[in-house]
Amino acid sequence: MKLWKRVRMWRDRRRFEQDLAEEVRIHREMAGEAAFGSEALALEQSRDVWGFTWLESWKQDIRYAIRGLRRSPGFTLAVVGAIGLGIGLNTTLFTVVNAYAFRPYMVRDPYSLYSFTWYAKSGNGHFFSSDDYESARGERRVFSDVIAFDNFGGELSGRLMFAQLVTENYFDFMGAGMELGRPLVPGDRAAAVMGYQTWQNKFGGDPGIVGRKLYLRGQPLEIVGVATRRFSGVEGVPVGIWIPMSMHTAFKDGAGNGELHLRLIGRLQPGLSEDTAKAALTTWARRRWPDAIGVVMTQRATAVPLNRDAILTFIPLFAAFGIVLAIACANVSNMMLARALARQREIAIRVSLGAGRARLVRQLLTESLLLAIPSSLAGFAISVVTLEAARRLLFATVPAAFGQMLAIEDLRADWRVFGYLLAASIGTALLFGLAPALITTRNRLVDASRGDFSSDYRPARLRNLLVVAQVWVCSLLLICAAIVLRGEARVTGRDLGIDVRGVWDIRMLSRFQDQAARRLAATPGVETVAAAWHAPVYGTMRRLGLHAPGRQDEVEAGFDFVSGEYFSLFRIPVLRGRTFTTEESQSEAALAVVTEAAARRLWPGGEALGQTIDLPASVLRHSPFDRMPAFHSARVVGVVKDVQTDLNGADAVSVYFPTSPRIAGNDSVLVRTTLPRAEAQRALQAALDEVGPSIADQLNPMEDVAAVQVYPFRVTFWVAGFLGGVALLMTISGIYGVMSYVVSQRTKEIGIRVALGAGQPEIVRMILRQSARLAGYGAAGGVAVALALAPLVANQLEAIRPYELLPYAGGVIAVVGAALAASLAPSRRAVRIDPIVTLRCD
Amino acid sequence: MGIRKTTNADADFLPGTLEMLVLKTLSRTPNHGFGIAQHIQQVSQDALRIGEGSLYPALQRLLLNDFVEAEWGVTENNRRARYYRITKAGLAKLAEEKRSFEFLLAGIARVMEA
Repeated sequence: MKLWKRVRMWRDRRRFEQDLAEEVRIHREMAGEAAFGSEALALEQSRDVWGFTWLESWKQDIRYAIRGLRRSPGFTLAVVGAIGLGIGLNTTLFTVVNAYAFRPYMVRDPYSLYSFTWYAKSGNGHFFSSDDYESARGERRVFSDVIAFDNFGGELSGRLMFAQLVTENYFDFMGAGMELGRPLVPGDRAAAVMGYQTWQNKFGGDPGIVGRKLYLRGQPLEIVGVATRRFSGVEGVPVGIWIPMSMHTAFKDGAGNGELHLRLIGRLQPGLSEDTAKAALTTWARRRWPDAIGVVMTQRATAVPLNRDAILTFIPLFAAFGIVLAIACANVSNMMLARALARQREIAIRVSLGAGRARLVRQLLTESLLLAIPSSLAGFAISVVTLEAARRLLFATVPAAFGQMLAIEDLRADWRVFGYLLAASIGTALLFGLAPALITTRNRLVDASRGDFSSDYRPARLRNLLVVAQVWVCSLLLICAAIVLRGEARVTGRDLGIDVRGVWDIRMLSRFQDQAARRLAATPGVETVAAAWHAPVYGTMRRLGLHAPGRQDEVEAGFDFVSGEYFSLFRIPVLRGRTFTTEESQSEAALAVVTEAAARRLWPGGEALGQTIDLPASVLRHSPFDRMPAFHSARVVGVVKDVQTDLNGADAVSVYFPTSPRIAGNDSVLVRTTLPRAEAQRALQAALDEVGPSIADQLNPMEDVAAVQVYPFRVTFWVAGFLGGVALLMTISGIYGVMSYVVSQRTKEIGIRVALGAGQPEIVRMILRQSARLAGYGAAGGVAVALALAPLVANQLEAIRPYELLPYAGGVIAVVGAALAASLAPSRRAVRIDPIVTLRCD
Repeated sequence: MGIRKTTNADADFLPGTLEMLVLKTLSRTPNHGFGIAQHIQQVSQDALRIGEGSLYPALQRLLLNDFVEAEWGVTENNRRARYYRITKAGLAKLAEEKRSFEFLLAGIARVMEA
């Protein structure tokens, strides 16, 4: 590092000078008569070699800038605050994205890990059986090794978490290391390895955890080890506990060996390219499944694979946060401009005395870079505080039943975050410092030599542009926030047609359901117990095509399997006919209950009751979890009122087929209680514990399930609203600054106007008009961009309607109002201008 | 802005020649500034006279590039003097300079004799 050597020598320059001077003196003494050449020149040029003059001038610049900043602490504080906030928010976002998409998993060679699956015309995302796994593992040309796993959520002795069944080579394959005890090894049966976070957060870091016996899905498991802190699986799911694959049948329903729902991850052979591997794997898949078309491979080095979809998700996020930083830069740029213009006399004198422009620009930029240092420190502090606050807010506001499942990646700053911070602060310093530096150092020798340091020296266009840009961006953010808020209100206010209050969704393996249902029905406080394949509200129903006999058109309808009690449990009114009897439920009779909407679609104008529905003879299985009725036609025994099963506003055309807790394949036992929540939870848990230890995977109040569906809207609104609020604040301060500056610059003109008889209202109107015009341009730009972006989100979610008037009007009014409010104080100052004073000065 | 100036253009030599001569001198034995100037003058039979104004900046350039090291010592006459010693990098540089110098010289010779 030559630069470093120079700086070191510079620091030591007193000794350097002494040495050099002595050396040259000795030389001249030795040479005596023969000496020639200038001693001073020798010293000067030697110094130049080390670039001392250059470093010296840097030091001067820095000292000068510090002196200037110390003289105006208000300005310094305002810059540090604005840029710090902007950088802080952006660092917050980057830290999160870094943790999920950039930081690789702490496993051996993470970039060689690939998950894969095959696709055919009939569907994609296929799972694998253990035979498939063995076959894939045999593909030694592609993979050095392959692991298989299967995830499920469950309660480990009362603590909700994700469990993962893994093949015996899993820990060896990952090479992640253990915190305590040993990894799973071949031959392990009722053994398990716990995740570090689970151990810390759910078992209080119990030092005696190894050797403890815990229950999961009614099965005892001995904890043999705790995984290292930085490892929690490689599929983005925070794994709480790993269980040997040999226990698969004990933990999963009715899956014979050929029907395992495994997912695979392989480690690519060293040096093999992704394309080659994909080609080889496609050949393998085509050999195994004749209808296979190709394979999809996803690198598993990070929690979120950095593919096209992920990048498309990140872009609007980074844009929204970056916009806030840009506003902060625009603000500071304006302040610097005003400040530099106040120094124009000094600068002009220096220019006319022969100071180089590059030197002046460098000096002004030094000031910006110096401001960037405390700003980035403030930014880092803000990002740490924001992350912690957001984490707490998240856990405090997410519906209680789901908070337990939540796990957040480690959000500590690493070298990537610090690198980003550095780049962001230097970038912003140049962004807010360059324009003022260039503008104020424009060569104006002629004017300066005339002694005129101010006239026609108004970079008004740039300043106005900055204000317009701020308003533009701010209104865009506010409009987006308002659109999301409307969407949330729409979703929250939606009438589902079912009453979820007091209803609990209890998930467990089929083998426990019958006994649990009977035990629950006998529990005091429990009003109704029902079975359902899929509980409502969680998401869209599975769909299938139906026919009314004799009619050709297919009606696509949502379908579910439920027991007869389901309708009374959710207070769904039966309009005509009846629901399923217990016997019909238990025998899965070929009967159906349809909603009003379905009845209208299938038999327009006719009576549905007693009619027959034809089911498709064969249905493409979209996923291994799909379940089809065993019959090909069903008689309609009842018509119920319309029900919306999810908050996303799918149509209410749906059909119900009978089932009961006795039948395998259902996910949920639903319970309605009359007890208050905490009491109900205790009573239900106690009843379930009598059936077996930790048999239930989840005990979800349906109210929380509904709340969780709205939650993403709420978070999006808070983020957009928060950014919009910050942007609004910055815009107000920016407009305030600019208008104050404008007023002080137009003092003379306003004084003349007042002297000529302009009244106070005219002056105020004049100032407000100028500010309103800027705000108007900006707001129009914001509306235009919002409308341009609208097609991207339209039709994505039913609740988000980007073409409503209200959000646009609200956003525009807020911004223009804020702009006018911000210029009130400057306009009052303008009114107070005394024409006698102003006309006398200068 | 002296930072970019790494070769000596104002001497009566081709750029970089002085540094080459200094390195060559030091490759025999470590020496002080005056000794270097004297040696060059003697060996060139007074054809090359090096002034302090060019010698010391050249030595600084060599120091900056780690081609030589400097240390205070004592001469045979018991006088304090700063001795320069060539480094490994300096030797490599010398060899490289020598090659290109010979190449250049041959070129000039061909032109002059044409």
